[in-house]
Amino acid sequence: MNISKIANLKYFYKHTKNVSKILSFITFSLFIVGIFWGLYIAPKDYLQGDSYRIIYVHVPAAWLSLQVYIVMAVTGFIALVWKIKIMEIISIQSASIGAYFTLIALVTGMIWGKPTWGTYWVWDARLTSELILLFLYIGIIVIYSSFTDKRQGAKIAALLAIVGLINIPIIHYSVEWWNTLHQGPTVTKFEKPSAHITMLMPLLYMLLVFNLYFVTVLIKRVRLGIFQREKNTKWMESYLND
Amino acid sequence: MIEFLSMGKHTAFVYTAYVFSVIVLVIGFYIPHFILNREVKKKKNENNKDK
Repeated sequence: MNISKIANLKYFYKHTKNVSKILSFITFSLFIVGIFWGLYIAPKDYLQGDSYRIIYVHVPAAWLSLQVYIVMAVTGFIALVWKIKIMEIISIQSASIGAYFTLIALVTGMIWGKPTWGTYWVWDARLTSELILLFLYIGIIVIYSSFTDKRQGAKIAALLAIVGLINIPIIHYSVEWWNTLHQGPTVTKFEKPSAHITMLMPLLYMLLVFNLYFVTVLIKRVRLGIFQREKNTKWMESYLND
Repeated sequence: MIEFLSMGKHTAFVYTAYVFSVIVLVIGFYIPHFILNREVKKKKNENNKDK
């Protein structure tokens, strides 16, 4: 498949309708399996009991919150430098999805914190930097929405996304740099992960499902972004009339 | 069945976390879907009026 074709707004909009439907079905099916696996098949933790099952939604959401931010900043940078319209749309549309993942990571983390730490919230480096990430996402969405000239808004939003990239290593390494209540890396210690394989497999599976969800929703949002920008063009009007 | 669904003293915490996540993900999924459908419909109506 030719990359330049996919980068073409008209081509992307016309050819992703069915892809989006198929991906939605696959994501939904895999998600149901993942929830069932995490809730009922994965073994109980000897120390935390069943409350640890929250990690099957918390950890993938937290990872995706960082990953989506990187996607947003990188595509924003490409859009700024090479003026590629689809990158601009991908960058700005990623912000909402990233905000959803960050919100899930924060709320499920709080719910897990109560039975495990005895409190919903502490101003710990990991939690605080993740909260800042949510504010960054919200800031980017608000800035973009406040501009009537959406191309100008996307440029400013991309700049903020690039500047905010500094927060990503802070979030990732916060548990190593500071003495935090939040536990250290569990899965990324590839040579010796702290979790047993029967607990690790559903986690990696859910990570895959969350990635698939991101791609699926991103395609939907990019189609929406293309429509909003191109709805008065000749190609869009003729496509709608067909 | 209830025993199968039970997570002991953590039942409320675990299910609240999952239900919250599912609700947010479903909302995140359907928002662009509904907005696009609504805007396409609106645009088509406008085009039909112009004709």
